[in-house]
Amino acid sequence: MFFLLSSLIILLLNALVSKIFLDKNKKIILFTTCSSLLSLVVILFSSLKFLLVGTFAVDNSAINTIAVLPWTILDVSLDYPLFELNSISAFFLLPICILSILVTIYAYKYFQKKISSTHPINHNNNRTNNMASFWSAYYLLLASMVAVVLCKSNLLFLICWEIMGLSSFFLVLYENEKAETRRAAWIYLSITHIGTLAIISFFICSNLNDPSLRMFCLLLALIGFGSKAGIIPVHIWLPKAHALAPSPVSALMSGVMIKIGVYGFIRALIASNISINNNPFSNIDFNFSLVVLTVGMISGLGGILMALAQHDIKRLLAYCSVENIGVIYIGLGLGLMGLSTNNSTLAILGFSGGLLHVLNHAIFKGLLFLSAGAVISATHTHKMDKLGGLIKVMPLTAFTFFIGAISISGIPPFNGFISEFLIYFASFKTLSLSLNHPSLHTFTSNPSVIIFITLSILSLAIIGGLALFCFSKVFSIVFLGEMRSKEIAKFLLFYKHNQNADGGTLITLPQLSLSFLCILIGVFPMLVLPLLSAPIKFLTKINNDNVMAEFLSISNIFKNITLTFFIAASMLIILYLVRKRKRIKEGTTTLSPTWDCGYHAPTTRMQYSASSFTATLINFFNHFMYSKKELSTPTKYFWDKNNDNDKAHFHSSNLDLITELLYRFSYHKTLKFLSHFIRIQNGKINFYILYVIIFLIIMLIWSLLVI
Amino acid sequence: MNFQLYPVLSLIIPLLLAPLLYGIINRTKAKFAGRIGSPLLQTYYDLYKLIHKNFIYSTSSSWIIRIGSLIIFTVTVTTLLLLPFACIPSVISFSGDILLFVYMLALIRFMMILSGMDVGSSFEAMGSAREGYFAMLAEPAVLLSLVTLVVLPVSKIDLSVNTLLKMLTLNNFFTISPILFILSISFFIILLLETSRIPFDDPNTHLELTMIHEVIILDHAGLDFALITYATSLKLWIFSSIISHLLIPIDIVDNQLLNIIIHLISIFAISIVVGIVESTFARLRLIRVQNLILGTFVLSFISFIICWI
Repeated sequence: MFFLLSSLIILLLNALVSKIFLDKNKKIILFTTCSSLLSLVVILFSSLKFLLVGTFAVDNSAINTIAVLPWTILDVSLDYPLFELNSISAFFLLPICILSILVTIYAYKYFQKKISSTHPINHNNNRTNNMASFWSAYYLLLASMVAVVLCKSNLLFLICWEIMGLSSFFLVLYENEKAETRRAAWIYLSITHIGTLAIISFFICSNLNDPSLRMFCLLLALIGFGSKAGIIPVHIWLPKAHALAPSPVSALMSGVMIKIGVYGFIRALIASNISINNNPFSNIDFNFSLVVLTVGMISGLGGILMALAQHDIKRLLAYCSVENIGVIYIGLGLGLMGLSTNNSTLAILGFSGGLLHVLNHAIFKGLLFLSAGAVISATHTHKMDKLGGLIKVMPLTAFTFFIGAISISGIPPFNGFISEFLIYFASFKTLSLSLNHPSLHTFTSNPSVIIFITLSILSLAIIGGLALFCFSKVFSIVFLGEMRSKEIAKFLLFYKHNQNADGGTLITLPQLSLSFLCILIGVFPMLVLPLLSAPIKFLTKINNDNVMAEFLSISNIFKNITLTFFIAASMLIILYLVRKRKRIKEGTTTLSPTWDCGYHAPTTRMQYSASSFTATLINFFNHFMYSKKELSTPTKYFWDKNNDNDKAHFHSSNLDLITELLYRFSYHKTLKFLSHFIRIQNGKINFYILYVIIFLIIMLIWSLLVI
Repeated sequence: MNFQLYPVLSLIIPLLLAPLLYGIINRTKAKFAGRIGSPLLQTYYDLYKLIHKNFIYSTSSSWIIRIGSLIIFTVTVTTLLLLPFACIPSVISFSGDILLFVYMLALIRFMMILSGMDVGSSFEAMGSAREGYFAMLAEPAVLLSLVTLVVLPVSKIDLSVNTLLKMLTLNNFFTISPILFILSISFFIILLLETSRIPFDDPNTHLELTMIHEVIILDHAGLDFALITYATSLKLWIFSSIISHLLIPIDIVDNQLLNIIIHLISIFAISIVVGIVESTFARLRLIRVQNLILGTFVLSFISFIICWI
């Protein structure tokens, strides 16, 4: 604990130091980076030690003493330890620290490059000034994220939560000369505060301890923490803010900051005392689990559908975060359903799947954002349709993005598959057990259980299929084929001759380590089980033996999965060597242009673009999309060189249905309603005096009648 | 001879016989067209010829297309490891391997799409986009069929391909075979989709604007092309084998050899049916394809509902 707190203080000091000294001395940034890396490593190791020692301890006293229910009282006293480490917070510290360490290394290099390459003359002074505030906000965000998960009292929690929201608001504002960025940050700020409002009301309501308010409390927690996590319909800040923030910041926000929302939600569940229930279908908890499942399914499907329709690479990744949060909430919802129906298998597997997906999503989404950042800093564009063929100039970035794309699509042998496997397996096992075990017959008698579990399997299947489609699109449009834009092609040619387009060791190293983690968790999934067991016990309060038995069977499955992967890998290697030998023996590998059906003047613009790749699918789902198309056709048969307006032009964009329907619609309705009251404030002073007189008369009558 | 002691046979039999299925399909089509047709072993000759050809790669391509064919082939073989054959158990079997099975097929598809996109041609990209789109539509149907298999009122040990495919016995034949029959129709349509046969895709056309699979592999040559063709025939075998297991009770005869022969015959029969479908149906218009795939979902859904009645 001492180490944790001192690391936290170092992070805070870094924020202060970089604000004060960065303007005068740029070398200071090296010092702050190193010290913050050191403190993050310390936090990472202490949380790892906590999780592992807690798991393998002979007596479980270490866990039991900490299992104090937090947040049950509205606690403003600051006399007992402000911070505590429990197994849930230790588990959440893992993704926070892993990603923060790597992103800090990346950001150190990324912003050095940024200063020198963009706006070298005009904004130089302004930028450095910005940089001091930027780094200070950055360290503040790191410190507040660590502090939020360690808080014990809910007052301190709210303070850290707000610091986290505000510091990330300033980080989003990095490129504040763009009106778009300012707008995105503004939307983020307002949604964050709606969330905080819900959280404060949740604390107050749960403090009342009224059973009739239980459902209301839980819903408040879902919305409040969900607004940070980015569940639909409070996700609208996410695609805007993540797309416009600098890439390391988006990696940090999308990778871990939105997970703090999930953390808060889990803490709220523990505080609401949800535990395994001896009377199945105690209605409130069960209904709430259905709500969580529904929210998860809608976020998952909506997120990935919107992601498919995007042309901007970072906006696409941001929508994909909404999808993954949906998958996490499906896992949590299944776990809750297991708890409320007294089905420990479903509870353990569902929560494990959800929690593991938190870790996995942090890893692969961080990786994808960092790789996208490398692409953007090399090509200076977000638009996928301008890119192409980058695999030849940026081989390392392409490789890491490839790993990230497979992982996020939930395909073996990478980590995304493992967490989705656990969630699927929880549902399938429940379905098969429920029929063959008469003791669980009450469970099957409720049709909504079967319906919702089947629905979650189906939505996971659709999410998986769409994610595969989406990420094969991103990877192939950005990295494969030929470069689509001539200007960027020239630009990259320069890189090819002069320097490495990948961006140097400090840029590629974090990406490579994250892709290593993707492979590690994917191929050896039993390694993460010890990390999961303590949080699961703490969360579900199922006794140790049951959890251990369940984990043992899972670890056997995982061993078999590893075995299968190894057989496949050895086959692949043998086949590769055989082919290589054949190639060397024959010595004739011909290179020729792509087969073009006899048309010998193809241009790179004739390749499929991001929008044509998904056009059929978007048409199929057009009821769930709000797509706008502009088409102007030439009016004459032949192109008139002098008339530029006569060029054919097509532009399509897909807007967010939720933003358009829910927010814009309600905003316009409210505005229309309120515009009726505009007459009251008409600027004439005699009317205002009239209002005062009317008010006084009403008060007079009221006092006469009542008093 | 006790075949159950040699699970590796369930891998070797498909590896040897899968290319034969193409021969059977082509023979059936030839009979319908009144031709003599190519030899039954034509695919083997083709593969042999392709393996000895040179390597040709597109100048636009990268390591993706070079590694893609290898991954597609090895993953297909790995999928076969999970699949039992008649009385022979699968090589690897564990609880929950159905999910690994489904997602291995997804990995094959992912690599297929990327290899198509790698050469930067609009043709291949068109095929890739369609492959991803149709497969995405088929995914819920596959999963719902799995759910139906899992909730069938038969005692099952675990959630593995091995036990799920062997649940039909003579004892419960009359109770569950109607459900399995509907499921096998839905699997048959998925077979036609996954192995790109008519009515989804015409394996004979290379340059129609409607094809899917044949266009993705336009720029593959030599050994790589051989591996992909072989992998596709293995995929045809995998789906035929699933259908045959859903239709024929596992203990139909006691003799193990006879049991294996019956399953072989039924797999060949399924190929003949594929050939008949190809000869008598026309390829669907691309806009109609999605309706047919959603139809499989409806079939799976019907069987799912029947389970609860």
